[in-house]
Amino acid sequence: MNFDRGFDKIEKVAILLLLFMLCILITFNSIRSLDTEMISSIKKDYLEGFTIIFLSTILEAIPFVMIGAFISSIIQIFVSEETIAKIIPKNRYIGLVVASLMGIVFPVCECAIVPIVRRLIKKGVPIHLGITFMLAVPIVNPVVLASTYYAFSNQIYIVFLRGFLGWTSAMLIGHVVGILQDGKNPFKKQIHNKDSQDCHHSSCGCGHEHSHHDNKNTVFSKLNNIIDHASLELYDVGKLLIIGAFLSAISQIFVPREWILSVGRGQASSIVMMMILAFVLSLCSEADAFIAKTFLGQFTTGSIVGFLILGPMLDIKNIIMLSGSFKPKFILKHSITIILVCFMMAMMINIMGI
Amino acid sequence: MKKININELIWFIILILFSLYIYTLFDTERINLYMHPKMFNYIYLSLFVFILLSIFQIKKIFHHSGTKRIKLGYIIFLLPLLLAFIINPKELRGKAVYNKGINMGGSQTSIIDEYEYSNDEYNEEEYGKEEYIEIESLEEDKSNLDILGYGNTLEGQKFLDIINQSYMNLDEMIGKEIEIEGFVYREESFAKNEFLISRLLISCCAADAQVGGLLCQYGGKSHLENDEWIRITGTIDSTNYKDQYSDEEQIIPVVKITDWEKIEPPESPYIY
Repeated sequence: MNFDRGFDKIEKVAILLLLFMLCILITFNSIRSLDTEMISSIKKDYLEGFTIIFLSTILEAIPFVMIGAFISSIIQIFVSEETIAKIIPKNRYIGLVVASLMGIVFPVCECAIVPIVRRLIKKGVPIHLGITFMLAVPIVNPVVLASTYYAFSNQIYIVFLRGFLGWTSAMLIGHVVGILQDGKNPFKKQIHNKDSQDCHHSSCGCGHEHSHHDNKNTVFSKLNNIIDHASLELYDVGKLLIIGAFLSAISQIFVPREWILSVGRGQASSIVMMMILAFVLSLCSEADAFIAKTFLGQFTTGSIVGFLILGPMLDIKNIIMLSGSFKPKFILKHSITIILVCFMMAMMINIMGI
Repeated sequence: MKKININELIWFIILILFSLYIYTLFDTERINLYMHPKMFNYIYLSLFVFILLSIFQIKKIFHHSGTKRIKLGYIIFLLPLLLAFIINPKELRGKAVYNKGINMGGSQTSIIDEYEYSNDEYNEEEYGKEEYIEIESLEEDKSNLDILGYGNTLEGQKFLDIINQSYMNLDEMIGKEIEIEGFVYREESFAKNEFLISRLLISCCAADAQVGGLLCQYGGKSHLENDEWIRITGTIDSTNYKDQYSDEEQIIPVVKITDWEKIEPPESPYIY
């Protein structure tokens, strides 16, 4: 059997790194004679902590990835392109507003949203609406706003700032990215095994190989399809989740806290630092408020709001998941727009002295 | 014998392994190391889904597909499983955690508000005593606990209460004797006879753990190491603390230790 060569560079690099790490781990643990002070202290200091942070990030995110995979599959099977075309408002601006408020009925974590949005855009939702939807749902939703409220119960203005600015940023970014993309296809070509029998199943177009032997529309076969899709989706997204969690855990362990704290007061530097932190920590938007709050005394308000807005929109986990479906150029446009808009919003707060 | 599709088989094994792993976490209660109890329902959901997918996967093992190539991506899924198995973490501690941030000084109000649960009447009743503070009626007062306070052991809750009271009502607490359990944490910036008695505070999952605690001062006879679990007895007093980064001076509580002893790390070391 030969190994499959037709997949992403990112995955290749990740796998090499993993194999390397595995070798180190196995060496540490199996060679008892090496069980010196140094090694067990490294293990105590770093490895245990790393493993716990890494695993807990994954454990926390997997349920949501699964939910997203199922919702995406359900949309795939039950919602046709025609339905979507009918629902979308004709007016671009009304469309943006509607898309940005969907989070209220559809509270989905950022981990879950990527496959859903991919599915929607493939089904014909225009890019500017898809992006607005993707960015707004993890912020403008009751669960996240509630947890932000719990965290900042003495600084309720932060909750409002997060909600309002998150909402407007999502619409702004969606609008801009839509214009920049200009109707071009943002997806990369899915790479298939050349000799797979059923590659582009016409009603699916998701690039997975399946064999739909029967086209019966029974409930059971539909259920079967949903589960099939969800399983494949879990594989695709799960890979990226694990890589993202890995990187995030590494940065949490190895970036010294002192560096972070020393820039807390500068108007612009604090924002930059908090945005970098939000990007690197890749926290789920339900939990990030509690982390943000620990910085409250030492960092400017604008930077904290910047953290709360950027985190759900763009972070390591997210970007790696996007890289699975979207073209690099698109991801670049998308990320830069997000960073600039969030920075702008945060800066506004600092300048206004809130 | 039917031909076996290797890829589907591997995925099946991975799904089963994850199901087993999550089940073991709950069975050994190790799950507490990773997650806040409020998240448990979600983890149950993922366990259910893993099992469901495994069942549906069985049939696919026998689906013949044209390719014989193994998808390399499966290795990525093995990484968390292998790490969990090899390292088998028991406690979150060490430099990894300290880097995540300590809660005292500047942003202490943030931590207090977050974990605040009781109303003022309750506080007065409990802390009116001059001698040892004992939280006996904790069981009765469960109704006061809001969603952020549950899941704690008695000791953990006591720790939280004492911290809350010390930071919020320092004036009332000065002079009171307390008994508290936690682990030792020292930074270079601390004086030789100072350390924090702390616990890890988790709001959602281990990834967001924060170290929270009280500053302590002691006679300095023996050398206490980081991560050691001890029980201390002491009196509460106040002192000035200068934040390195904001140059602000604040008055914070400090415990003047009268007695201490080493203890075993508790089963449930976190505070939620």
